[in-house]
Amino acid sequence: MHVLIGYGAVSLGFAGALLGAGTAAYSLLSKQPALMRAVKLHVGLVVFAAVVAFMTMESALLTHDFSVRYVAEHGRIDTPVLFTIATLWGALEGSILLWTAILAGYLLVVTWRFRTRTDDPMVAWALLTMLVVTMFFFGLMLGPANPFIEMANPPADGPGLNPLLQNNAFMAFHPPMLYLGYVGFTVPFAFAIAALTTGRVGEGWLVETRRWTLFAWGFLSFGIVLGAWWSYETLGWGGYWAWDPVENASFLPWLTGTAFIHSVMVQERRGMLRVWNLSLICATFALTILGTFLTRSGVIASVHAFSDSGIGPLLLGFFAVIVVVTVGLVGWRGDALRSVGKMDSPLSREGAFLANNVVFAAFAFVVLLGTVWPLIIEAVNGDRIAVGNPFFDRMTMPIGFVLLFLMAMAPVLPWRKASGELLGDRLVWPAVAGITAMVVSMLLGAAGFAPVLAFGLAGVAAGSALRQLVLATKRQGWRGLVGRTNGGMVVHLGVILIAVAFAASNSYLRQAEFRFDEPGQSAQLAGHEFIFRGRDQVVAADGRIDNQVLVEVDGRIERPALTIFPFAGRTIGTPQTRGSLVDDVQLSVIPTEDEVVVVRVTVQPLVQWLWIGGTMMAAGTALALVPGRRRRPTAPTSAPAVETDVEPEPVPV
Amino acid sequence: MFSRRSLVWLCLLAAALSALAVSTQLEGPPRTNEDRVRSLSEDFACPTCDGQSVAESNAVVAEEIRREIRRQVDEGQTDRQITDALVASYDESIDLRPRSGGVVGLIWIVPVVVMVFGFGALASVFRRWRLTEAQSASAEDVELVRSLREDRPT
Amino acid sequence: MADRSVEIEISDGPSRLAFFFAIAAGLVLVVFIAVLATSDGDSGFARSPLVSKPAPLISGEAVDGTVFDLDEQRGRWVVVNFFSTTCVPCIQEHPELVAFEEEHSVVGDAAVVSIAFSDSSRNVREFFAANGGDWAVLAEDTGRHAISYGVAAVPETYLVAPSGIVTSKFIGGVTKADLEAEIGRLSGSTGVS
Repeated sequence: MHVLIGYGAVSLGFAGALLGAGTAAYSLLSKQPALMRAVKLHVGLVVFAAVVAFMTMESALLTHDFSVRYVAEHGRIDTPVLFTIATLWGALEGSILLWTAILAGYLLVVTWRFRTRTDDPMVAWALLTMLVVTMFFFGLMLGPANPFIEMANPPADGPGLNPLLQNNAFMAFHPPMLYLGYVGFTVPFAFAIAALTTGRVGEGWLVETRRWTLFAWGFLSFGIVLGAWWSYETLGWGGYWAWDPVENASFLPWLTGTAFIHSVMVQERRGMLRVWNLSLICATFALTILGTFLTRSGVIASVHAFSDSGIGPLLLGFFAVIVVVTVGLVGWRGDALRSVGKMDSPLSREGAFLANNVVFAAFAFVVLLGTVWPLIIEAVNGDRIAVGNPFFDRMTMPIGFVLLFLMAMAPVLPWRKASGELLGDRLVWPAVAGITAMVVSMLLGAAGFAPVLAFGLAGVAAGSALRQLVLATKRQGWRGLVGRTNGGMVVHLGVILIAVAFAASNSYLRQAEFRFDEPGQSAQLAGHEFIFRGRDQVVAADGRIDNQVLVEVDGRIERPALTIFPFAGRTIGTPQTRGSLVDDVQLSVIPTEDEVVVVRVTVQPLVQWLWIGGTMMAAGTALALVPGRRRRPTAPTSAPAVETDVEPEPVPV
Repeated sequence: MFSRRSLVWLCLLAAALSALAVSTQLEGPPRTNEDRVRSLSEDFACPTCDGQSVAESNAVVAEEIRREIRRQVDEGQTDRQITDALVASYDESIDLRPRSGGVVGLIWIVPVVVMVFGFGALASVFRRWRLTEAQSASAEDVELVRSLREDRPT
Repeated sequence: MADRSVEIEISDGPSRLAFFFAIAAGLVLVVFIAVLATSDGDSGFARSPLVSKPAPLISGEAVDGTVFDLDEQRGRWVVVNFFSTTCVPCIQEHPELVAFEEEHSVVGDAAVVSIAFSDSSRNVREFFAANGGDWAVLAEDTGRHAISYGVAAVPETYLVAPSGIVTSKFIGGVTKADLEAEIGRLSGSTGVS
């Protein structure tokens, strides 16, 4: 029953998307805008189909209907309810279902928002693009990634989710957050294609979709931080970011998306960089598809990768299509659509944003290069090599410094032109903050040129951001915290916290493995004391067995364990982390073949600042999405180079 | 004479530079053998795990390799010797640091080249803008613009 | 009404920046996609760099108390088998090794040494007591031997020629037939060495 309804819904969705795309294409080519009204119905059909498919799978999971192969392979009767729900996106076919459902959601919102303007070719092209993408994902589920396959002899019970995914409730939310980000970029991409095709780049459409981009970007940021947090808490090696190909796949669209968020402000103010922004958006979307390909095709080995299936070539093909269409459109139309303005001076906010774009583009290039380099080398001379942390860390460190520097400068730079005097006045307090940060960090034990320089630059950047916020709140009260610039400053503060945490935890990490024979033995590391207090065994409600090691850390007991999942036939480590604002102590049990207990202890400073910074980024994004008082969303602001009646942002002199 | 602002900045600069100079002289806690084991472990890939380093992985072979690294560090072997031994046993691909020579070494150079190219392009774009700014408007141009603006619907 | 159309001359021709950029990006991406399409993505530790090199030393105390030293085995083929008592393919290959050893220890041309990987002496003794097998088995402090041979996972078996050179690496369980075929192949082509 589930299989029938589910597959039927998927087919319906595909048919609806196909119909909608076809109707939209015909409407555009034959110049009959009235036909677009039918497309709204098709969208409704698609959304209905997606909801039914999603609900059907959840129903199958929650009722433990093992006649559905996906449930038989990934479900289990005793899995806690939250994880059962999350099993929908815990494996490959289900993840495509989640992607499609979210895409249908975005399609619905876009159609609703523009429901009175469907006879505008821009909207028509955008809807066409989105429907084609939706059609592709439904198509994947019709064929190689079908979650609704009948199981001939349903088993009595299944193995359940990968134990690593069941360690923490937060992990259940990581994919939906991430997908809200990835999939969200489809909307600005659709409008970018529309703008390139119709040639209407100067009317503020991209500015309008800026809000969509920011929304998607916010979720992507939060999803990435959540993933890092899970990796840290669950894997127990003390790290939170391994430059793993799947992690990089999520990071690449974030980098180009961040570049876009900044350069679109230049387009709003000065009407410039129109085609560059369109290219950035298309690149961001293409990178989300590339990332999906890398994680689902088995081309690059990764511990996060989904199981291999046949969808790799299809995703690569889709990526190729996107690349061809985008490059073709930009090559054909780009020069005719370029803006005519120019910038007065590199020492201006526009200049800082341009530099920001160059640096982020370079950053994305470095990450992409490192990720695919093993493939390139293998294609060139057949050698198998690996590229890991050593490469990425060394390359991204200077980039990080430059970005901190730009974050310090940009908020104090006015638009158009700045004088040295102006900068000198505005940067005094941020400079003081930077020096204070360096001194304080050294008093607290920091050493080494690179980390201290990082702390100093972070201090200056934080000073600039805080200065802007303080001035804005003094002028406008609580409204000084919302809106694009102020929300952006809060996001900057979050990023700065993350940068500081990254520098501190990487530079000052201490690790040791302690062997304990008898309770009462103790050891020290980095100012903490560890006393072995014995062992324990706890059997949980869902059947997992925790073999715990009791360690008293600075007076309180922690219970890292080796957890056996008998139903999945696996044993994984369950580390314990004691976090504080100063440092994190992480304990994990190393399996041994004899009776000696081996505990690996990792002490890192400032790890909690990562999660605080991530939360600030999310909060800042939400603040930035609050509409300002002044601007109408569709006011044409990307006017030619002559200054128009756009109200300049009040700049304190 | 120096303005007050310049004086302030001179002091700030001096303070910043001295702080940085001090930072190079400070030493953190002494580097123990365990620290060396950890940093070496990050440079080698675990042979059976997809792409994880020996430091990250919980696999049995990763733990064994860490133990072996610890044994060699305690014996006093240098980083170079430990690396050579592991590469001799496993293969070049266990080393996560791309070699510096040959095609593989390009990976270190390409990003630098791209960055230089990017900033160079930016600089030339700015120069082009500045050069075109050098033209000033003639009286006819001003009159033309004024009359066109009058005609423009608001 | 005065003529409002004005001819504006653009001094340099329309820039073709976007066009050239698109061409360049397009070429790079085509190459990139080709690379992705043709790679097969399996990990590379199947080849061993030890092949044709002198076998790394193995010496230590076996579980039955005797001392084993690989150098003393010169003149005979040695099957160096890395295993653990809990890995399924190791359990499956064990009878094959028993059969191989029984036959060749009589003839005297090949010997077997088993090295436990991340396992305890007690488990190993019990395993051999239950499943037979009368050859040197090392279980103490064996990590360094495994690492020196480049063992990634068990079972892995290395064949060492009478000259002390590593000739082959088997990943996964081996059979008596596999070993004998390989010895036969190598003896035939290289002659006695």
